[in-house]
Amino acid sequence: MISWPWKSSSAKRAERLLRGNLTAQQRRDLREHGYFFVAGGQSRLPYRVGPKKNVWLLAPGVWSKPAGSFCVYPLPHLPSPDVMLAHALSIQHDERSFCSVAVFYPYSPDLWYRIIPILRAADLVRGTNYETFCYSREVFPCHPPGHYRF
Amino acid sequence: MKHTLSIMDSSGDRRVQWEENDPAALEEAKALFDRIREKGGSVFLEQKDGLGGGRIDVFDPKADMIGVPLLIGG
Repeated sequence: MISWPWKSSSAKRAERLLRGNLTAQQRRDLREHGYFFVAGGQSRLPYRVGPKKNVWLLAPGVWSKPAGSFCVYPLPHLPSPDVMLAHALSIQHDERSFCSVAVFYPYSPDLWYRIIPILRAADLVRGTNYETFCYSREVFPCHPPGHYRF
Repeated sequence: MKHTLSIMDSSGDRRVQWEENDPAALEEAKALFDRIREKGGSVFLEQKDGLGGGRIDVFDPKADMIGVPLLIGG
């Protein structure tokens, strides 16, 4: 089911708030594709924010496939543009809290080798949900947990 | 000059406005600010056209703000 462009009055109201807080480029991406990109406040990694709680983490320079995605949503229920703005604000200004709360699903182990050094440099591994995956046998089956050297 | 606290809710958002010289409205806005944070939510500065912004932990009567409810992972 396509949730964008939004039709309900609550979503349209939320969309006005969302659009007022986006750059011209982000507004253009939203209009043309239904999603936009933000940079993580600490890591500066690109995130793709879309409707239906659809947040991707991307590797720098690789726009075609996600390194992973997040499942995170606000309580109580909010219209989709509000959810997108909540995600975008949290990623830009409180990335550590976002990564600590959001459940993370890694997709591409090959991209993870490029991302983990950046996450470690930004102090976003220890104590966040990335930690599980950075030291996971499923993601890095050839190494025992806790023995990675990047 | 009027300032706004936009609180995200199921209707899109609820807006509370105040002027710095209106203590009653200011008090109401501050109470809402505190309530959002007590419930685990966050408050961010509005970023006009995507510029500026930031998370704030103390009510700023001279700022336009957005209240975001608690985020949970699932």
